[in-house]
Amino acid sequence: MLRLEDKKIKETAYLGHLSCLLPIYIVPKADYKSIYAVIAVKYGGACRKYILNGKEYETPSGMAHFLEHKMFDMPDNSNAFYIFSSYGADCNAFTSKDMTAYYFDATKKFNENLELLIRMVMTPYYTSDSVSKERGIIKQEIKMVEDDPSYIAYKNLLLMLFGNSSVSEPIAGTCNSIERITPELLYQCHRDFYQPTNMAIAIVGNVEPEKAFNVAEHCTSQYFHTPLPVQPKISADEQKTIEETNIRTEYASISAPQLLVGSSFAPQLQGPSYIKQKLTAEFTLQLLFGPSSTFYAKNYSDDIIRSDFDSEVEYISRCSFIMLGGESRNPELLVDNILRTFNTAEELVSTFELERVKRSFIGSYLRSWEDFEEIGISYVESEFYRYNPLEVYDISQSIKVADCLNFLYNDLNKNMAISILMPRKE
Amino acid sequence: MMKIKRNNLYQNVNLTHIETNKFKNNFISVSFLSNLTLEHASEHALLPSVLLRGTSEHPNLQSMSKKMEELYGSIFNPMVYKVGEIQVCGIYISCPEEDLLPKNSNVLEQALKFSGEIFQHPYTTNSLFYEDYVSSESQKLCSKIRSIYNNKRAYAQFRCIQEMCSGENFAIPALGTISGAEAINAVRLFNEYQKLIKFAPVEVFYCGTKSIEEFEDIFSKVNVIPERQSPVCIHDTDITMSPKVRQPAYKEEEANTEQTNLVMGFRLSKSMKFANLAALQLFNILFGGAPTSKLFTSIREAKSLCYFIDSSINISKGIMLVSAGTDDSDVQTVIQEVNEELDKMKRGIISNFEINTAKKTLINDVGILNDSASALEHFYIANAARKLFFTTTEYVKQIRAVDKNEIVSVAKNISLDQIFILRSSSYN
Repeated sequence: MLRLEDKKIKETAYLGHLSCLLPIYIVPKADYKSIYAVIAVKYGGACRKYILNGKEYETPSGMAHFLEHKMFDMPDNSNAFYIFSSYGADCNAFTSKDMTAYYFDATKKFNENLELLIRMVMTPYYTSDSVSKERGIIKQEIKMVEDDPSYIAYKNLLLMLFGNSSVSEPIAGTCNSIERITPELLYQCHRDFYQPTNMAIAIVGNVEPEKAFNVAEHCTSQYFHTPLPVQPKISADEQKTIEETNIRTEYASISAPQLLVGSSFAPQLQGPSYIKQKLTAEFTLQLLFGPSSTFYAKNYSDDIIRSDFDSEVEYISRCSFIMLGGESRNPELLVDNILRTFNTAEELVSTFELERVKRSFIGSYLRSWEDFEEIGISYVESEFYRYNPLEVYDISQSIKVADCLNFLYNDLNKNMAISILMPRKE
Repeated sequence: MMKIKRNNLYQNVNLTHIETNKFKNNFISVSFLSNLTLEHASEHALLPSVLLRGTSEHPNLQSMSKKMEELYGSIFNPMVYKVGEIQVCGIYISCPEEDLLPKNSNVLEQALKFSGEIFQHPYTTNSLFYEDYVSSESQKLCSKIRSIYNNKRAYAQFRCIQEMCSGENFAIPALGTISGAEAINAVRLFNEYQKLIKFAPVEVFYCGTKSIEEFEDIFSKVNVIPERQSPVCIHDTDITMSPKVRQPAYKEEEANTEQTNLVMGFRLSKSMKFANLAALQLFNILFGGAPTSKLFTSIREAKSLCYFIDSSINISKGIMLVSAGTDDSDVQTVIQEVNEELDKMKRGIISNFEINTAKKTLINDVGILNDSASALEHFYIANAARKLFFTTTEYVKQIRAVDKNEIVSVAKNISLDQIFILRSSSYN
């Protein structure tokens, strides 16, 4: 295994490849009680169309998420939740737009839990009855998500930025789309995407790297087979540039108006340049709109924003965007203030201010190295996006004012998408 | 390796200290304890945010934020919550460990000194809080109180408690009320601040690499909080043993939502007399607090009636809530199923395998607490508010010692008090 290290923050990680070609990351944390292990697949809610062996396939919206739900059913009709619990472990899974991840957290029985995790993910079992039952559960989940105002605002933002594409579709699908999911389709997608060269595993916690590697080797050799000679190619939607600023207003059962403003930018898709771009965007947003900015001070004092006001940078498939917003008693005024700040950004980005933001990043970076789930997910993502998490600190400190200005004036689309949610009169 | 100690710093100021090398950040909290009352709940909820608006050295939010960024992104956040009928308000701090920073950063002492400024030298005008800060934060507090409506599950739980505990202080939200927040002005808030800072019992928590002696030295050197004058005692949570009426009370509201939210409120009754916390928590895991629980396996997995259904126990007040999201047409079925599953537990239909699995789950959850400074803070400070102190290791022993009879006994004492339904209605 390759040993990766950052002595400044006293972190070490080990990278290897198992015989089945599955990449594995091990982050030993000697003084901790728990072990977190995650196995991730580069297949998520936005991966609806793909090409394999010259043929194009289109799957219903919600496919990856449905697959995730069904993974806990074992071929002997047992349920993996119960077995994990009998080992004293907590387990769960999630599906994002680009990825599905299955994980456990345990203080004991690492070997048994890891074997179960791998077996669960690599022994698919779907019947018409179980798929039909799961449909009922997922329909309730869809309704729960559709009642979430932050989801409504976000969904509208994505629709404005990326149109009716797989990027803007709900991860869980719709009550109609999941009606088309069958056991045969589930087996097909599992066969095509759950391949070791399309997956990664990360183990964080109180483990010895060599021993953990050997346990993983033993488990995967039983359940992983020879990878397909050809990997599926996701037919990802290319990012379109919106041609003018768009506003969309919707009404919902909420207590006060909510606002999300977003804009796309040309993405760096992998490697250190991906990390540098992401951090540059985050630092730029913090300079313009963060708690120490003039914008924040003025708008907070005038009660145009609350402490939930925040900004984020996201990458989905081959698209990328910034978004910022929160609750506001006057969303139209807040939009004006945000746009005015973007228009005067050059005055607000200075070396002195940037150095302070870079210094403040150190605290959040150190906090992230205490969260096992965050560490595990960052390593599996690093496999998909081809970067080293231990290089993030040095990259962050290398960012200059010129990088921030370049992002603002060359990368970021001038046209904004504005998603407003207003309280429905009830 | 963790060394855990509890010490008395000054009269009515206690310190829970955890010395460990495993984290990359120091975690500190300073919490003021008071009885939860309608008269002062909103003031106590507002106070930490007003203190964080500015100090004599850093008179506004921008200056405060820049100071935190200069301290390598240290966090100073307000916190307000309740433990039963005890309100906890204060500030928590996270600052990087100094050996991971450039030499002589001295971050911990600087962070504690800054917190001393926040507590003892807030920004004032005419010897009172700056009225603009008070009114600004009061408006934001009102927005925050109203925003519970945006999360329909949380709102339904809140309403169930309001109905069930009407007339009891537990019904008062930790953030207080809108009318309470709107009535606050600089004079009232400053007076209440003076009372808290001088008289209220305080719980301090530290987790990091400094020894208890080193931490106590810095804490008193930078004068974070003053020594108490005549201490105030706070009384324990009032535990109402039984439902007020024989038949469960029933309340419905409508909301423009896709999903109906059901909440059933139960009293733990006699189980709260000499309460065995471990038995209560094990009961909860078995009943509805885990994916292997009766409610989850029967009502969600077997019958597909819900996406979420769970139970949660408030061990300070002696209340259990069962929450479920379901279709309108299935609500009565879900209520019936919940009652049937509870009845099975009263009759002792729990296998040894289920109990052992629940113990392993709870022991695992307690074990994982040790890997998070903020989780440890909540464990120890919530227990301190209940006038309890035991380590996570000691709690694991208590869990192991629970037998089936104790769990069944918990079930037998549970009675349904309130049903609250937030019905979905179609919107045209």
